[in-house]
Amino acid sequence: MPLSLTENDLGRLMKAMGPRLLALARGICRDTAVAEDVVQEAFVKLWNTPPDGPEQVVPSWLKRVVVNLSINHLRRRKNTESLPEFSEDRALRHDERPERQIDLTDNMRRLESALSRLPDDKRAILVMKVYDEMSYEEIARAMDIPIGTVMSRLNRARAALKDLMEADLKHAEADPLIFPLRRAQG
Amino acid sequence: MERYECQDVQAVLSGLLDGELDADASHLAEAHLSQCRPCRDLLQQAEETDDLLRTTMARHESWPASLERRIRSEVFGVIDGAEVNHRRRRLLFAAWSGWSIAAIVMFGLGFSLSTRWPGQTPAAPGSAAGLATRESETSPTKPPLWIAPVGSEVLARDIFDDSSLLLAASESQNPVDPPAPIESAAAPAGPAETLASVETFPASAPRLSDRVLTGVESEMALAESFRDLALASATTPDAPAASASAAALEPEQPGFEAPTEALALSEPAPAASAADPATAEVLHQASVLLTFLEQAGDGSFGDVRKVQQALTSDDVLERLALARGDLDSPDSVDLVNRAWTVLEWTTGSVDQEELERVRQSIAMQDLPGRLERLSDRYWN
Repeated sequence: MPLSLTENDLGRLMKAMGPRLLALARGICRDTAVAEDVVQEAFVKLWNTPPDGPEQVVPSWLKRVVVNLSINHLRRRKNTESLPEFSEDRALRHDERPERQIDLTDNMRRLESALSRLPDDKRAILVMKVYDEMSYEEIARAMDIPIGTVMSRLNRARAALKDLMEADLKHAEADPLIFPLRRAQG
Repeated sequence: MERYECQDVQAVLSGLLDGELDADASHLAEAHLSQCRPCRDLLQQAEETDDLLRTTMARHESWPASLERRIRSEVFGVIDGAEVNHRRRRLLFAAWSGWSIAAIVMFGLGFSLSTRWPGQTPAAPGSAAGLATRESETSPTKPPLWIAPVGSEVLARDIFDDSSLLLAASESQNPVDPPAPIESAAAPAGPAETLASVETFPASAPRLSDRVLTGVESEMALAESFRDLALASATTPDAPAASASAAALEPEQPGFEAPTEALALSEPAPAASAADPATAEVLHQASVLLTFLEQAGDGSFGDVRKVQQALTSDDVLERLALARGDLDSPDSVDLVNRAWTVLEWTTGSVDQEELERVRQSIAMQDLPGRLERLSDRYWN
C-alpha cells in the first residue's frame, strides 16, 4: 500500500533530507542547477507516487531516486569517458606516491578541482560509495552494472582522482611563480 | 592462492577499504599488508582521500529556500494548502468587491449626470447622443461591460502580486538552513584576525567579491561625484568648499572602509613620498601576484597555488600589512587593504565560481595597476 504523506510530512522530509540529497546530486552532476532540478523532481515524485511501506523506507527511496535521476542526467550528457585498464592506473603504484604533507584546506581545493575534472562515471561511483555509503549491491543496481565490476570501477575512480590531485600539485611545483623583482628592473 | 602480492592487494584495495571483501580475500590482503609498508601507506592514503571527499562534500550540504519554494509550488500549485484557501477566499471577496464597486460607480455616475445637467433636454432622435441615451435607458441596471471586469482584474492582479508576499511570509515563518558558508573570505579587519578566521567566515557575511564589487560600484559613483565637483571647482574659486562637499559624499559602508582611493581612478597628482625601496618592493610584488591571479583560470587552480606559494615563501601578506604603516595617505592604505584582502582570500579554500568573481573584481578595480603606480611613488 502506497505511503500516505501529508503536507507537513513533506516539509519535514525536505528539511531533514534535502541538504544531503542536494549535496549527493551536486557531487554526481557537478552542477548546482541540475542538482536542484534532480532533487525537486525526486520530492515531486515522492508526493505524486510515494513508495510502498512505512515512512522509514522514504530516505533510501529518495536517495535511490536522486542517484538514478543524476545518472540519467549524466547519460543524457553523453560525456562519459571510457575507463582505462587497471594496469594504466599509475597512481596506484606506491613508488610514485607523493610524500608531501599539505594542509586540509589546500587538499580540499585540490580535491574539488580534481572532482570537477573526473569523468562523470568515476565521480558518480565515488560519490555514491564514499559520500553516500551505498553498498556495492546498491551501486550495481543504480548504475546497472554487475556487482563484480563495482570494485574495479571504484579502484579506477580512486586512482584517477589521486592522479588528478597529484598532477595539480606537480604542475604548481614544476613551474613556480617567480617575482620579477623591482630591483632587477631598476 | 596462498598469498597476495602488491598488485593483488592493489586490485582489491577498494573492496578492502569499503569492507566488501569476502573473508578469504580479506585475510590474504591483511596478511600482505602486515608485511608491506608501501601497500599500507597506499591504503592509508586512500582512506585519507575518502575522508577528504566526505568532508569536502559535506561542506556543500545546504537547502536553499528558493528550491523548497519551487517544490511546494509544483506539488501544491502556486502556494501551499493553507494559503490556497486563504487565496480562494480573497478571490471571492475580490470578485464581490469588483461588482460592488462597479455598482457604486454606476450609481455615482448616474447621480452625477442627473445633478450636473438637470435641465438638459433629451437629444434629438437619431443623433449619436440620443442613441446612447436610449441604449442606457433600455438596460438601466446592467453596468457597462468595461467597468466590472477592470475592477475585478485589478484586484485579482493585486492578489497575485500579493502571493509573493505570502510566500515571503511563509518563508520567514519557516526559516530554512542558510546556504553553505563561503569559507576563507576574509573580513577586511586586521590581518591577524583575518588569518585566524579563515576557516570560519560567518554564513551571513557577504562574499568577498561582493564586498569588493560593492566597493567598486560606490567607488565609481564617488569618482563621478569627485569629477563633478572638480568641474564645479574649476569654475568657482571656492575649491576647499568643494572638497568638503566631496568628503561629505563619502559613503559609509559597515565592514568595508569607504573607498577614498576613488581619486586614483581619475589619476590625481600624487603627493611626494620619501623613497622607500622595501615598501615599493612589496607593493610591486602584490601587484604582480594580483596580475597573476587576475589571469588565472585554467580550472586547475594551479595558478592559485602558485600565488599561495609565493605569498608564503616571500611573506608578502605580513610585509604588506607592515608596509601600510609607511604609507602617506588613507587612500593608499585603503588600496593596500583591498589588495591584502584579495591576496589573503587565496590562502583559503577557493572555488571556481568565486575565483571568477574575484578575478573580475581585480580587473574592474585595476588593483595591479594602481598598486604599481603606488609602488613607483615609493621607488623614486
